Amino acid sequence: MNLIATANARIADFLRWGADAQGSTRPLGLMRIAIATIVFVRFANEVSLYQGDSLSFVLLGVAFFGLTSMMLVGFKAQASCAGVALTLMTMHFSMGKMHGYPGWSSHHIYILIVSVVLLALSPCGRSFSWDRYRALSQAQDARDIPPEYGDLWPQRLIALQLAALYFWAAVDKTNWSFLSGQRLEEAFIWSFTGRALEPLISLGAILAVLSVIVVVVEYFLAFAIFVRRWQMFVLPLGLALHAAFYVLLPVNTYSATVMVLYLALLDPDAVHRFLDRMIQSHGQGPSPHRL
Amino acid sequence: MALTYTAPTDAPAHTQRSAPASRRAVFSVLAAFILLGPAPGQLFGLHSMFLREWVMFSAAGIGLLKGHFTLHRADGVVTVSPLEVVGLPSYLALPLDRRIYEPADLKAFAARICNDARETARLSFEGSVGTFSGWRPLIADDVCNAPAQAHYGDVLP
Repeated sequence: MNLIATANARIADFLRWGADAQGSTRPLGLMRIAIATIVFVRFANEVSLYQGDSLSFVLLGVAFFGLTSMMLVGFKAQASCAGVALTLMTMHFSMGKMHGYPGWSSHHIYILIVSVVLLALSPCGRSFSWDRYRALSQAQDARDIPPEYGDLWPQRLIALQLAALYFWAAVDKTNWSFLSGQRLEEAFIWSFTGRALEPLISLGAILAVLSVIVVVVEYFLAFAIFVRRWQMFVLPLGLALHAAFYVLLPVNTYSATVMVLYLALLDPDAVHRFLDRMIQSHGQGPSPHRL
Repeated sequence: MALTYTAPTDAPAHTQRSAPASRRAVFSVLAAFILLGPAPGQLFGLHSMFLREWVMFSAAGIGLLKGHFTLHRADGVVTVSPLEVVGLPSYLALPLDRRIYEPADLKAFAARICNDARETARLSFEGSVGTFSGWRPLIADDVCNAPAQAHYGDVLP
């Protein structure tokens, strides 16, 4: 009975943390802007209208640029995020997976899709958006101004996605071929053969040590990112891991996306207060014209 | 390890409200999908397009060569790197269909030399090929003219 009661209590705690979560929407607003920028960087060249070899591809490009621009500035923010999510799903599942469009079925695209879907379910337009600017300009008094506050359950799901990503990536690496350094050597041979950093391939036992470190860190991050009192060193550790991936392997936008999603791990109200302090200290300082 | 969940909001506990049951249900379903979605593919081999597996770079080096080719010319042997044989500056530029998934694929990999009518020397290879389970020794005495005799070093020809 104790076990069942404990499990029930844990589930209740989990739902209170996740489904009931409320707080500042500023981290969501920042994520919306950053993810829209990353989506632009990743696809703009490939879906530009001059690349279109059919009417449907041109229409895809038009939808992409229109919706991603709306998402970036926060115009009809949730609807535009939903539109971007549908566009990316079409590109990933239909064109990438089913028709083999090169590079569009990759992990870094899927994590972008998850991010945009969850942003579409969140009040991501309440902060740093055209929607908010319009509401402020139309407000008759303070009660008309929508609060930068809302339900944050999609933000909690983004945090869970990060944990799942680390855990299952570590599971995939928990075997002799990775822990012995062979798979890391294979990845380095792919990336560095014929390049200036080719000597990295010959690190031998050091590759095995690096492989073990990567697996241990990924298992650790899967759980430790949720422990608030550890975040001071856990989050820099995760950011360093992704920075290393970014410069050593052709991960495309994957590392940048995950780094942005770390905003979902922070206390949203602490982020809000931090931004308040930054803006206030600027406001009390000299005029921007005199800086 | 005990996880410490933060309060859902900074508001005083008595003012907090629970989410409606429908939202709790949606949250639970999506959380289960996110957390357990990779399990069928990664644990049981039941792959699905809609259940993403987090296996980044697991196939990065599959079918790539580590070792050297040798051209056995009348005036001596010449050692050639795999990139020189394939005629590319980097493996990143190698199309997937030019990788070595079977020993006999060596001939397609070395097509630039095998199809050159001016090159009559025998081309051999000694080294390893990347597989999901690590490096596997690979040997070929005559890549161009007897590709079927190329074999893994841990398997008798």
